[in-house]
Formats: sequence, C-alpha cells, structure tokens
Amino acid sequence: MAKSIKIIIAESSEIIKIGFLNILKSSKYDIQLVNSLEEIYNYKTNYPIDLILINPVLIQNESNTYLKIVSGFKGTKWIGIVFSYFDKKFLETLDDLIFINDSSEIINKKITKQIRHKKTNIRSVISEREIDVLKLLVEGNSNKEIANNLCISTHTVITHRKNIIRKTGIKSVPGLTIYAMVNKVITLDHFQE
Amino acid sequence: MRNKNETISKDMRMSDLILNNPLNILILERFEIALGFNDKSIEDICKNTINVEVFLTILNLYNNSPYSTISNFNHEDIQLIIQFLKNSHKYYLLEKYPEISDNIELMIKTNNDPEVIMVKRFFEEYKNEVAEHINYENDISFPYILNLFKAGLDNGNIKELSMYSINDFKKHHDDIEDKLTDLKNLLIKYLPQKKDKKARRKILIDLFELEHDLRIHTEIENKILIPQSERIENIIKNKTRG
Repeated sequence: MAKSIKIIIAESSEIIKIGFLNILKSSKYDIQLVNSLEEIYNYKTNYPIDLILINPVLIQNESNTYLKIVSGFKGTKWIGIVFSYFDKKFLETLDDLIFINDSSEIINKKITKQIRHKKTNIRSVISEREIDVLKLLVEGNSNKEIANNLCISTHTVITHRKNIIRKTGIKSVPGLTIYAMVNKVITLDHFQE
Repeated sequence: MRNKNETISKDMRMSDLILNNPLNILILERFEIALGFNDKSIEDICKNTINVEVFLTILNLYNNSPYSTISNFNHEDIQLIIQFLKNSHKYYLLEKYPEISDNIELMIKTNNDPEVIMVKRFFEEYKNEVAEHINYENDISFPYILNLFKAGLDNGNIKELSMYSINDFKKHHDDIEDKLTDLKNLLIKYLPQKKDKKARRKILIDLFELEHDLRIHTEIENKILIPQSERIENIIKNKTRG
C-alpha cells in the first residue's frame, strides 16, 4: 500500500512551476503549487509533506516563518530552485539544490535521491502498542512499570520488547533510545539533565 | 594464493601469513613478534620463545580455519595466552576505541543532528562498560587463572585460590557484542546521512574489524581459558581430597 509522495513547489514564477510539473509528470507524485512560504505553513496539519521545492528568495527575508515551518515539518526534505545569486552558507541549509540549467534527467535524479532516503514511517515497522512500550522503555521504566502504565501483564511487555528487537535489529535500551529519537517517538527534551 | 580457510601450519612462511590476511599483523603484535622476518617459517620465528602450538591455535581461530589443538595447555602456555589477551585489551582501550571516538567526533562535525550526538554518548557509555570488563579480567580473573595453573601443575599455594572460581569468570563474562551490533545497525539503517560519509564509513569499517576481533577474543576465553581452568580446578579438587 504505497502512499503517493507529496511534493510542494513554492515558486512565484508561473513558467517555472509549469516547467516542473512537466518534468515530473511521468512520476506519480502528488504535487501542490504555492506562491509563498505562508501558504506552505497552511499544509502543516494532517498533511505530511515529503519534499518541498522552493525558490530561496521566498525564504530569505522570512527566516522566522521558515524556521517555524522547518520545525513543524519534521522529516520533510528541502530542495532549493536556484537561478540567481545566494549566499553559500544559506544554500547549505537546504538538502539539495536544483539549478535553472539542470537537465530534466538531473532534476528527476535529485528528487528521487531525496525521496529514497526519506525515513520509513515507524508505524509500518512496529505496531502502535509496540511504540507505546518503546516510548516508556527508553524513558527508563522497568517492565513492571510499563505493564502498570499500559494496563497489560509484564509477560505481554516482554513479548512486545522481543518483537521490537526482532523488527528493528536493536537490542540495547540506549540503542533503542537513538532509534526512538530518529523516528520522533521521543525528543531530546527527554534527556535534558 | 592460499585459500583463506585452509589450516595454517608451522611450515608456512611468516610473511605469507600477512600477505594473505593483513589483519594477522595484529596477532603478531600481540605475540610480540616484530616484522622483518625474511623468508623464515612460522616455526623458525617462534623457536625458543613461543609455543608454536599456542600460536597456531589462536591464529587459526582468527582466520576461521580448522585446527585441532593440543588438549592440555601447561602453565607457560596459559601465561602466553593471557599475555596475548592482555595485549589485545591494550589495543582495544588505547588504540581502537579512541580511534572510533575520534571518528565519531568527526561525524558530529559534519552532522550535528541530536541523534548523532546521542551516538557519541552511547559509544562512550559502551566504552566505559568494556573498560570495566577488561579491568576485571586483568585484575581478578587472569591472576586467578595463573595462580590456578601454578598451584595445579607446579605445586604453588592452593590456599590463595579458595576465594574465587572459574565459574565466577563465566558469570561475569557477559556479552559486550550486542551494543556494537546496535551501533552498526543505527549507522547503516537508521541515522539519516548528511555530509558525514567519510567519518561514518571509517567508523563502520572499524566496527566490523572490532566485532570480529572481540568475537575471537571471547572464543579464546570460552574454548581454551575456561575449559582448561576447569580441568585444573578438578585436578586440585582431587589432590585436596586425596
């Protein structure tokens, strides 16, 4: 059950937007066209975006909105559409760049590359209940505490833990902690000492 | 070229050993054999200083080659094996682990995701656990085993032994390989790669090498050190009974 890849193209030029649509038309992406950063922000809820193609001009003077979007769109990849001069440092904050004279082959390649490395959703790997157990486990709870918290038996907790290890290939609690962080099951705030 | 899994015998040239598998340099270092051996055979190099049987036993283990070793190691052989294991410990603590730590620092410089910073913490904790384990072996298990062989085979002082048994060593001998595997999986499967390609590759290659090394290290302990010590413990039991 492959869900379609969601892409936003943020660019004010009609010519460029249509150009992209044309280049990407054979790949079955779900593409939204927007003109500003503000419009991207509206997609935040219930619509996880895989990739944003954006003219850096739209970001440059809106760094506050940009940072807000970046922190709200965890896991989204950003590709800049570059056809004028930008500060190198600024461009480096993006995952990749597409230049105005790139061939359609190269553009497709760059986009595929970003999508290929997008994380598999944790929910397609381990179950909702296993995520609950994982979360409590890496927060430092014992099997008994996890069992009490979730109103299940310790035996069931152990079964869940075995399944988590089998599915992820990670055995130690510190290792699972990092796994949980990568998959946003927990955030770093859990570890502020 | 010699097949990798063919038994290594004492007639082989020492230089071929390394030409066939460069990681064998590590084994030579731990037996304190220096390079520059011309065309001398393994037997020639070992003569008078190293029991060639012990050398071949460990070498074949490292190279995954079949070898039927002697069944009764004497006090001197065990001394040699323990010296080998201690030298391996030194290599892990003073060379390999610091090298991996350095590369993790390098990785953070090119990818400062919070998860990558957690990898550093993960590794440092793991390193401390291993250091603790190694110190325990160096300070408690190994001296016991040496005393045991002295007492059992060379009439040393049996009384010194009563506090400890090889069974305690077995118990303390927990698995430190799990966390290495976790680290490998995190780096290969889960942590998104940024510009840390070079550092991450170096770490992974080190981890694979270390994993093999530690596995054989454990095998030497499980296949030689523990059964041999149990054999001597039984000899002593019979002695005190008789």
